[in-house]
Amino acid sequence: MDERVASILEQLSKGRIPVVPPDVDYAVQLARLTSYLDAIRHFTLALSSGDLSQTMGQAGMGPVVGSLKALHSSLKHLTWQTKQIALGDFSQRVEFMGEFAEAFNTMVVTLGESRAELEQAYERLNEDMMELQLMSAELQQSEERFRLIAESVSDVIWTLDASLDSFTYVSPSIASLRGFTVDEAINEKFAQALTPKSYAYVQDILMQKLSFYSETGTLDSFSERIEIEQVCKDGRIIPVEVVISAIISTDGNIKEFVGISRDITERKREEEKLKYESTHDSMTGLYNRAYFDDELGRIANGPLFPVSFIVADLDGLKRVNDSIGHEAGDQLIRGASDVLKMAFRGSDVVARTGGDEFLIILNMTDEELAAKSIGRIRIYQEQYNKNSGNMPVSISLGTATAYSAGDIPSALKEADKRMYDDKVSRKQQRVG
Amino acid sequence: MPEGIINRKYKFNWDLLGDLELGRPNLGHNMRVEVYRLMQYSFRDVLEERYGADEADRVFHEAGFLAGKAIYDNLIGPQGDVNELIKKLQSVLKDMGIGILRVEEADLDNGRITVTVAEDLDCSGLPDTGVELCTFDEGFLAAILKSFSGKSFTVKEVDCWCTGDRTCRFTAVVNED
Repeated sequence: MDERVASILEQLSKGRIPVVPPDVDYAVQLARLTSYLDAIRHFTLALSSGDLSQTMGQAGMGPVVGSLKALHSSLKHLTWQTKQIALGDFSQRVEFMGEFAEAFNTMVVTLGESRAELEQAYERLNEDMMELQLMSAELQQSEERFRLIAESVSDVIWTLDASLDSFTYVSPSIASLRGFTVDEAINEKFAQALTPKSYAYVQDILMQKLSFYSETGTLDSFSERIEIEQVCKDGRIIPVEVVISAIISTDGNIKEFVGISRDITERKREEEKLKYESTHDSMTGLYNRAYFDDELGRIANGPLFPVSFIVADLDGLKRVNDSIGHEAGDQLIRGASDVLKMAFRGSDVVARTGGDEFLIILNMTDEELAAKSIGRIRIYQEQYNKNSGNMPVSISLGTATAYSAGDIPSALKEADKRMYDDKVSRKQQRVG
Repeated sequence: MPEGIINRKYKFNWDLLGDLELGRPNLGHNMRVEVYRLMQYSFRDVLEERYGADEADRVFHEAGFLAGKAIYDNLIGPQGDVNELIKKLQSVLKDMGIGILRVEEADLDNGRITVTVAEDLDCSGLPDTGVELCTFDEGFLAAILKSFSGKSFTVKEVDCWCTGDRTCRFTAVVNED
């Protein structure tokens, strides 16, 4: 054998691919063999570097290359499977590739489970988001509803910070209550919105409630309906009924106060009117019998003794009513009332206690002073009659003094008796 | 049908596979691969002898197409996409012991698919004759793809055990009608 052939075979046996000289024995066959091995080397290198685009081409025949091509095919299939997994197909499995198949399949299962968990979490997140969006929409609707309510009602709705210092919301009806715009009202301090007395009163009540809440944690007590006075933009002071509640935050602290203010001027006026009507005689404007009786009770329990009583009885009322008419009779009564009003101070109690009967209470007045009062009545009666034309007033008078509560009934009785004595005496004088 | 043949004894249909539960209560569904190959290559020998190798290839290709369609209709059925088809086909081929199907490329949009079948029932382990043998498989795969997509494919075996490879590789290209 050509020694060069032996050398070529020796190098081939060591895995080298030698250059085959063209003039060596079996040069054509050896060149094919080295070319075949070179093609395998290139194909193997491409496989090892992950280049699956290379093929064996025309040289790719026979079982040696066939095994490499089987490996090439498996790698291409794995590449395809991996792409499917990347697209979300976690049902892909590698089979008949031993330990690698087991590891790969475990990885795919784990990935699939993780993906499923992520999808579930995403779904839950989406549900939560939808729920939040729904809640947000409902909250918005609710806020809008309450805003519309707050801005539609005539009562003023407001919120105040927890330090009782500044308003955080004031509804537009503040303009009709106190004459301020919303901006002016919000920029106003709480203390400025009330009279000093009312501010102190509200502070006192809220401090009591805060203290009670911090001790007991009871919320129900934190709602109070109170009457206060507020200052209007034009300086007027108006009575206002306020309901104040506390808004508690989730950590249990007072977040802010919410209040509803209502103008009660008219109600107060009506109350005053009712009170006046229940204590005054509508014809004369003097106190009535009910007030007189209440006053007697107050005097009995008070320190204003001696107290003198004057009983005054209008003479001739029945005769005027019968002969001239009730209108004239009423005029006579109003005349007597005017005389008595002129004769006494505003602090004295002058009451019409019957059709033609009047009673006067004089606090801290003894018999001497009471006698002077009788004299004063006579003077004013005379003055009145000078100007009254043909309807002169004639009043019979009697007085008595009580020095203690126990004397009151007898003093009244005595004054009444003296009034009758006066009436008889004056009638006799007129006859005589 | 060739001229002169006027009657058929066994026009192929799925029922011709028979009731194996009834017919083979003891031996069951399975048999040895050699028996399958004994039948196939004895047939091929007679066909090649009588009609020549090319015509024998055409007969096996047509028979494979018939078998592929029957398998699709009876064991695979309509699939949502090509990946589902491949998974189902892999499962059927494996369960029936036909071969291990692997995919190298499946681009149905561009009408190109490349698959390999390892441990092929027809050829794995055969002597290296230097000639691709699996014309039955070519027809089989063409029928599967047509049944699935409605398009006609040309399937060509490019690597075969009989040419020294260790796995059979088939390329399928859609026919532009």
